[in-house]
Amino acid sequence: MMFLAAALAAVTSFGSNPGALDMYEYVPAGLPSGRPLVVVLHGCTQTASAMEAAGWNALADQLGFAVVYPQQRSANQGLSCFTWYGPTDIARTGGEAESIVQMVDTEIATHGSDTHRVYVTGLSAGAAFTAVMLATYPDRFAAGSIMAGLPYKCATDLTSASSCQQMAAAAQKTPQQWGDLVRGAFAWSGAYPRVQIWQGTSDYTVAPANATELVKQWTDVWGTDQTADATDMISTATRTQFMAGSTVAVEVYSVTGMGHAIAIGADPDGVCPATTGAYFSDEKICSTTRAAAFFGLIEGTGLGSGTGTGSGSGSDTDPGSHDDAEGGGCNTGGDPGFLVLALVGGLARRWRHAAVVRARNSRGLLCRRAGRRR
Amino acid sequence: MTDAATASTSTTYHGTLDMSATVPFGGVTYCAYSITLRQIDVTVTMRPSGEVTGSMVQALNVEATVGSCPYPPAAPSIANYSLDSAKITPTGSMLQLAGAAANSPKVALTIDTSPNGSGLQANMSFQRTDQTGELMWTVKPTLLLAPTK
Repeated sequence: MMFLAAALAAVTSFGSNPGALDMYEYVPAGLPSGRPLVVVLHGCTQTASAMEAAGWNALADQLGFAVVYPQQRSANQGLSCFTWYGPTDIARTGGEAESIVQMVDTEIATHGSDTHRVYVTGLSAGAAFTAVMLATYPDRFAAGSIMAGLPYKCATDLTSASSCQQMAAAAQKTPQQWGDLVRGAFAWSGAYPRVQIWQGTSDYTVAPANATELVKQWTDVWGTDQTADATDMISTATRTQFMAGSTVAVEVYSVTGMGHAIAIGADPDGVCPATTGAYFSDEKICSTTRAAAFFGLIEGTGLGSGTGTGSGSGSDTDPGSHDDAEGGGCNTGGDPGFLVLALVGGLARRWRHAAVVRARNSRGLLCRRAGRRR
Repeated sequence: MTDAATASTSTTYHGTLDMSATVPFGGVTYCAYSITLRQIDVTVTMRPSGEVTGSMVQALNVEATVGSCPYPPAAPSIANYSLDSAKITPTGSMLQLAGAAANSPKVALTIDTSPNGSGLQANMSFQRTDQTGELMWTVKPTLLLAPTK
C-alpha cells in the first residue's frame, strides 16, 4: 500500500505564544468538524517535518483527523529541543506548554477539532514534552504516547536533565513522588489521560529505566499499582498493560534491541504508514498505528487497548473536560479480524467511510472512555 | 540542500581548553602513569535546527610517570578526530568522533552537546581503546563552545 506524503502548512497566528514556538499543521482536505486532533512533537536538532516520517499525515487522510506539529526555535533552545526541563516551559502557563495548547485551541477554532479527542505524541525531547503536556493539561488531552521519553518534572535544569536521561538510582522516585509531581502541575479532579510508553532496551541515550519510572508516575496518577495486568509479545516488543478498573491506563512497549528511536515496520497486525528516516527504526512493529489505536482513532482493533465495563459515574466538574462517561462491556483483546479490515482494507478507504464504520462500532469508542468522568 | 547552502546557514562553534584534569592509570602490575590532554581544540558545525554537520577535535596526549619507574611514558602525541555520527539526545546531541589512523594511543571520543547561552556546552569523553584493565583511561573534560559567526 502506498502512503503519500504531504507538505505541512505553517500557521503563523495562534495566540500569545509565550513559548515562542512555531506551528505547522496537516489537515486533510474536506475534514469536517468534530474530528480528532493529534499533536506530534519532534526531538532535538529536528524540525517538524522530520516527524512526518511517522506517517501521521497518511493516517489522518485515511481516518479523518488533523495533525499539529509544534516546532522549537533554536533561539529558545540552541539545539531545538522542547525545553522539558525548563520550569517556565513545563508549567501550565507562561511557556512552551501553553503555546502548544494555544495551537490546539487554534485547531479547534479553525477546524472544529473534537475537544474530547485531542492526543499528543513525540520522540525523545518531544516525548519528554508529551509527558509535560499530559501533566499540565490533563483536562485537554485524552491520551498520549511517549516514545523514548522521561517522566514529567524529572528535571528542572539542564544539569539534572542529563542525570534523568541515565535515570540512575539517585534520580528514581517512588510512584507517589512521581505522581505528586503530576498532581502538582494542575489541580485536576477528573480522569487523567491514558498513557502509552515506547522504549528501546538498547537505548543508551534515554535509559530504559525511564520507562519504569514513567509507569510509576502514571499508574500512581491513575491510582493503580505497578503490577502488570497483561503482558504479551508482539514482534520484538513486549507489551505490558496496567489497568485502572477496566481501563488500560498505562501501556508499555519495550522493544528488544532498539536504540533511541521510534519503532516502525511491518506490524504483524497491519500496514505501517511510517517511512524510514533518522530515528525511525525498523522493528517489525508500528508505533504509529499502535498509538493511533491506543488513542481510539482505529476502532475495535487488536492494536487497541480495549477496556471492559466502566462505571461511568461521577459529576461533571469541568465543562471543558475531554472525558466521556459512557461505560459498557468490551472485548479487552480487541478484534483482530476488524484490524485487518481497518488497516489493510479500511486504510485504503477514505476516512468518511471509516467514520461510518466507527459509528457502527461505537461501542469500542465508548469502552475506551469507560470509567472516565464527565 | 546543497553543501553551499548548508554552509551559508550553518553556525560553527569553537572552544579550547589548555589542559584537562590529569588521570592516573597503570600502577598495579605496571608502573604508575598519568595522562593529561593539553591544547584541546574543538569545533562543531550545526544547521539552524541544531543538526550537527561537522566536528573536528585536536588534543595533545601527554603522559607522565608517577613515582619511580624504569619504563618511560609514551612521548607526547597529537591526536586528531573528526565527526563520525551524531545522534539526538533529550537535551541536544551526542557526537561520535573517529580518531585519525595515525593517532596513538587509540582513543574513542564522544561529545555530549547541550545549549549554553548563545553557545554550547561540550561534555567530552576520551576513552583509550587499545588497552584494557589498568592501562585503560578515560578523560572527561568540559568545554564551552562559542559561535564564531
